[in-house]
Amino acid sequence: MAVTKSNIANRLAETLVIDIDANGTSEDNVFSGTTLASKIYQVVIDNTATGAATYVRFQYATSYSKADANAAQSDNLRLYAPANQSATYVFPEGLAFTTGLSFIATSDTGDVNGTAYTDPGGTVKVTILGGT
Amino acid sequence: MSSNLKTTNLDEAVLEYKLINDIRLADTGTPTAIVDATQESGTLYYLSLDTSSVTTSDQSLKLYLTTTEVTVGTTAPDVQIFVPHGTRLKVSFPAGLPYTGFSASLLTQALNSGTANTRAGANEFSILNVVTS
Repeated sequence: MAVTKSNIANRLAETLVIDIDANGTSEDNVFSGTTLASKIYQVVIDNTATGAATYVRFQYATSYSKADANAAQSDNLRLYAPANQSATYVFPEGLAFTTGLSFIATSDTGDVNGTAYTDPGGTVKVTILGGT
Repeated sequence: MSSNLKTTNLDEAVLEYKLINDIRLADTGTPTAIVDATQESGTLYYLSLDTSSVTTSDQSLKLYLTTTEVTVGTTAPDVQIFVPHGTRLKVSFPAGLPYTGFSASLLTQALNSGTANTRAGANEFSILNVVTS
């Protein structure tokens, strides 16, 4: 995966994270190193190149822990983009996350998965606007 | 359908929107979902969830958009949002989010298998408002 991160002057959103090839391998603690992101203000999932729905699954933690039937950890935030479409989610007052923000992109909705979450069938781009 | 759930069609000649309002989403310990609230496919544009009367238990709002057959604890949600108690969540979907059916549940357990809402007080209710077309 290829993640870029840059600061944006002034508010509303102050930190921009873009993953141009999001998949089942977790992107961990993507706002690490910046003090300008403690809330999520917007997420865009570009799923136009994928012929099936993609789920971007976030945990408010420094790493994404695969959930299973016995685990206490599951998604704090799960967002969905239909097949061959983009989806935009705007949180006008921000969604506060605490420890960190980590995510995967997958075609799986289940909590139980044998070895790994299934990668999307095509290239998925995830854009996250963070702020304070 | 719950008596707490109201769905209103606006005048289609003026605005092609529907309003969904549930004043007691998850008002029991083992809540059921509101299922296929609009009774047809549509597009989601706005959603708010008011948990300001909930004093201790953080909530997970779960939306089921790709099916009209929903069983809480079995059906995996398509969208799930952590909502701290005593807050108000607002989400807008500027380009719209298409759905096959609109269903929602509110639990204190984030896992797909969760079935409970352990909010503390008997009079602590979460209010859901949705705009679709």
